[in-house]
Amino acid sequence: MNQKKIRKLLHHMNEQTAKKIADEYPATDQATKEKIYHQICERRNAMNEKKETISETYHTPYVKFVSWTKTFGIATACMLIMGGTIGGIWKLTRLNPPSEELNSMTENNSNTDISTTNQTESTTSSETLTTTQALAVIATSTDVTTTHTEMSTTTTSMMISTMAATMQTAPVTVITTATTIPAVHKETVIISETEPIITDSVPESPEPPITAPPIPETTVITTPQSETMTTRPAYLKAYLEICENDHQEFGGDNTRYGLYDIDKDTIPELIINHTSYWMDMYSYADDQIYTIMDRYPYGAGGNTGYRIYPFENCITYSFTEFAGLIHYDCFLTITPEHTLEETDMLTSYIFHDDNNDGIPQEEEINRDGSLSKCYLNNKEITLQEYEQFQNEHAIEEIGLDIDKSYDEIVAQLTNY
Amino acid sequence: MTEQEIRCLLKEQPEKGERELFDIYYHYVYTIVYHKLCNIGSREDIEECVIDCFVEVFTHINPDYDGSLKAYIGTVAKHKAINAGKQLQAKAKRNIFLEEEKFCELSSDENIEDLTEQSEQTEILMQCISELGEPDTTIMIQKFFYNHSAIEISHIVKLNPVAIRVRCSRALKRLKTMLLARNFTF
Repeated sequence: MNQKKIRKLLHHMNEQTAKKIADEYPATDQATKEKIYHQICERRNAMNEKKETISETYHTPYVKFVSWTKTFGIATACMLIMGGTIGGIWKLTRLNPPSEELNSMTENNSNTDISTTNQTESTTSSETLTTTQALAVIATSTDVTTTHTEMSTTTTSMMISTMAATMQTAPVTVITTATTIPAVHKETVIISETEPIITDSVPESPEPPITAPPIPETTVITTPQSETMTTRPAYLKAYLEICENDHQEFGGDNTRYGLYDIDKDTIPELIINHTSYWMDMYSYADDQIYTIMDRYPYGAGGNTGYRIYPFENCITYSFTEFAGLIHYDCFLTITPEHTLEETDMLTSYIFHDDNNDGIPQEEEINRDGSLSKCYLNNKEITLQEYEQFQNEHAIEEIGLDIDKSYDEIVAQLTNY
Repeated sequence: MTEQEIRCLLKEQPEKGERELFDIYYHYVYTIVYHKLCNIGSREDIEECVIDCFVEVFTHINPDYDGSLKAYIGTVAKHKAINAGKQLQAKAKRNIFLEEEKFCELSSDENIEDLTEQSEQTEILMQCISELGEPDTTIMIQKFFYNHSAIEISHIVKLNPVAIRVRCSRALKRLKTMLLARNFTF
């Protein structure tokens, strides 16, 4: 029976029929109805509150103006503060160079030359000294005087200490004269700083070895889709062969085919449904075909067929005994070894088994179809636990998708 | 409760009147909205539209209005559902501008002959479903029209989901026999 067609016909009914259904049949359960009513009340309350808010602000435009002005003023103040903070930080970084630059100017790296000239003939010698050494030489030496004025040694040393404060630790080259010069002589003291010279003696900080950034590990997952870039997946050919053999052997217009990835290994399983008789299922892995279901029958004993969970590795079917008075729900899973394993069995009795023999007697039958006893994997459970298990394993039938004819499945497998 | 009583209740006790109105016409509105949006929107869209319908009705209903409440509510529901359907279709970008060159080449998907045949088949199908008897008729409509699961149906008809599935499969077999007897082809 084509359930898809029934759905399609009912969804395309005319308005009169729809209204007739609306009059005679409930649309949803009570819980959904209450939920919708609750949401209607919430929305109406929200609408009423909004109306009150709008009316308040309408009647006080002055308040509205004041509030806008406040908002604007606060925003402007925040922007000014932020701008001032950013500008201050920028300026500070410009005025105070980073300490690394200072540390790089070591004693051996920069030179300051102090040259003195004098008019007297004398031998001069020059040597590179640190500033402190130079200061000591200058302070003790009477040969150096500043221009323009005649200065005493103490004044000279004061000036030199002032100069030292500004020169910091820059090394100084002092040219001293061997002969003494009278105080009246004016000499020009020229202090200049040259670019720091990096000599071999400066210990270089070891540079970190330059290494290439690590190349992230990539894993390439070949999927059937990626494989089709170069070759068609091998399982297509294998499945095609199975379909051809099956069609040759059993034929029939009632056989339906489908592809669905039940065990979530990215390769779909081939499902062949010999409608109302049996179901076959095949899986492909490790370059070979595995038979998951081989002529699993249904149609008898209340077994209406095998259903597949859309989101889990689970196949379920049910069957009954004693004309439906004992009902079994079985849950199967495909193992990594490509076999079918039963994980759970839910049993329910529609009779109160007073004598605990598991066989319904006439007087024990629940005429209203209600459940009396429930078992999960042969252990008795309460009705609440039974319902909870049912809710957790809510079945949405996917058997409807196993509805391709032989020609359609061949076309799908050939043109993948 | 008659429509006149609902109107009186809306005047005297508006909240109670609205609740009564909701209780009586909820399934009616839901079905009309569902009928328009089942092929376009999700269940959440349908519920949203139902909420919009009732908010609209509660906001604008005039208790002194003498006409049929059912007709008024049904019309509001239908128009809301059509508007919602158009919005959903616009979101799905299944529209084309008038100025586009391809517009003239567009043809309607509808085939009148198929539609006529479909509506006849629907009528026969509905007749056969109603002949199944309760609760099978309700189960079939809940499953194939409203697309409810066995658990949801069990809350409506007060049977356990297992019994629902068994009844559904048996009802399908009976339905098939009845349809074949009327030369219904699938």
